[in-house]
Amino acid sequence: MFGKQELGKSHKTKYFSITKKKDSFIYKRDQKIVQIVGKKINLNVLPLSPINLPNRLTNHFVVDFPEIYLSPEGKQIIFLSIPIEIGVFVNERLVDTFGFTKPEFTLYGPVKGGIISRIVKGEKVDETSTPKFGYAIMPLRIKNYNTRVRRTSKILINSRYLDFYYGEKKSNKVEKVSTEMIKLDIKGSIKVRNMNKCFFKGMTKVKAKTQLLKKEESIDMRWGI
Amino acid sequence: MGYMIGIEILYGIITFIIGFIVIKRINKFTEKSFKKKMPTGMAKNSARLTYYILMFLLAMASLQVAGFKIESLLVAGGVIGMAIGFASQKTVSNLISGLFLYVDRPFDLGDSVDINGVGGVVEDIQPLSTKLRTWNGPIMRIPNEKVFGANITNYKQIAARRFVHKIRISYDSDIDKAMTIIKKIIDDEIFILKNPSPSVIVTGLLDSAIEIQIKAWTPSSKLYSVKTKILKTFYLALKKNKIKIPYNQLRVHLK
Repeated sequence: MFGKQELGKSHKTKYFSITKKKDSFIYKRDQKIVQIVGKKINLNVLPLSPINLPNRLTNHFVVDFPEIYLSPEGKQIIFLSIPIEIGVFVNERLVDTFGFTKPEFTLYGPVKGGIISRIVKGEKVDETSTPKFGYAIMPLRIKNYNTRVRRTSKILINSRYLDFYYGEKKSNKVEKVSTEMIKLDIKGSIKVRNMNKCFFKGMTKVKAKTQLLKKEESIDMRWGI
Repeated sequence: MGYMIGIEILYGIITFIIGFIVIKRINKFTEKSFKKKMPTGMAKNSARLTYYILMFLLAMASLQVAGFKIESLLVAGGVIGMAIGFASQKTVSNLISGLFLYVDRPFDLGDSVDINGVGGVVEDIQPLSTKLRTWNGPIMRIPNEKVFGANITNYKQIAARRFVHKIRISYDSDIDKAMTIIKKIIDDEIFILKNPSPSVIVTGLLDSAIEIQIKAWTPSSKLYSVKTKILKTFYLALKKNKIKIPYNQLRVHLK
């Protein structure tokens, strides 16, 4: 499903179809219809951050996950299954985005200075699991640098700097999607860092235009975890 | 004697030229560094003010070098200044208010604001006045003195806004059913924030109706669209479920 392919004839998937007419192609998904003129087209289906639907209101999303208690100076790697969006690019242009969960929003922080964020429900999964289509695994390394027990149940992500990876699992042909490794450091302040590398081997990095921006060093979760 | 005066004037001119070049460079540097630390409009005006102060000092220094007696010039300047001062009290007041606005920073260029009931987008902040593009389009120039003393609401600086609405239902309507319908509509609306959480409460048993109050937060940019959509949905849903929204009623018994 994911990745680039050149189309010279009609193409159908479980979620959308592209029908070849005379000198054009018709992309169709539910009520969405797009006409693309040309004898051949480049189709690219990619995983995207869950921030584009119903329209792009914010770059941030908060992943809510089951509460975790961390002992003093303890660290843990967990794997979260999070809903994502699917972007359909034709000739490098994004023609459609779809997802499988209802968007919800929250305010992270105070009214003045806080950040409007999409709420994303993260479920703890096993490292070896492959989430169903429309979901990605987010490897999250949490470290408590304090000398007292800390608990956490959410993480704030800036999608502009979040890399996605996809790859084919040979045994059952289900494509696994993963975000890059994320670090949550709980010190005096709480910092979220993108590690710029994939936890899993042999996966392809998504190079969508929206994700070619310069990485910022970290996000400060100053309003709690 | 005449030769000496000529030399002094020449030194004065040279001092001014060198000073002018130096001040120009300082001005470029200050504007750049101000832009890093403060909003664009404020940075430009602060750099301009620094430039005028330095130019005034340079002019004084150059005249001193050229052999003019600064003391007498300042005395004369003081008298003229007083005359101008009386004539331009408003201007000075606007200028000082402008400076206070720079320090207080209640808004920046491009912010959506409401200044004493006039709403719009800040187009320009100048030393004497602030220009506002009103919601209807025209540009309004407001003297800084008035802006500084006004009640200012800045909508750009707030991420979320709350809307409060009261719905009145008749006494013969099912209050639990009405509240369930209202809560469901709020839960279903994507752009109503889950946190801070919305609330639906009974706030009054009035003469002719039960009053239900709804408080909900939305992203600032979505306030009006959400409010319009949700009020219409409330009305249609309550009507569909035969929950009456009564008019004010007064029952008169005649004996």
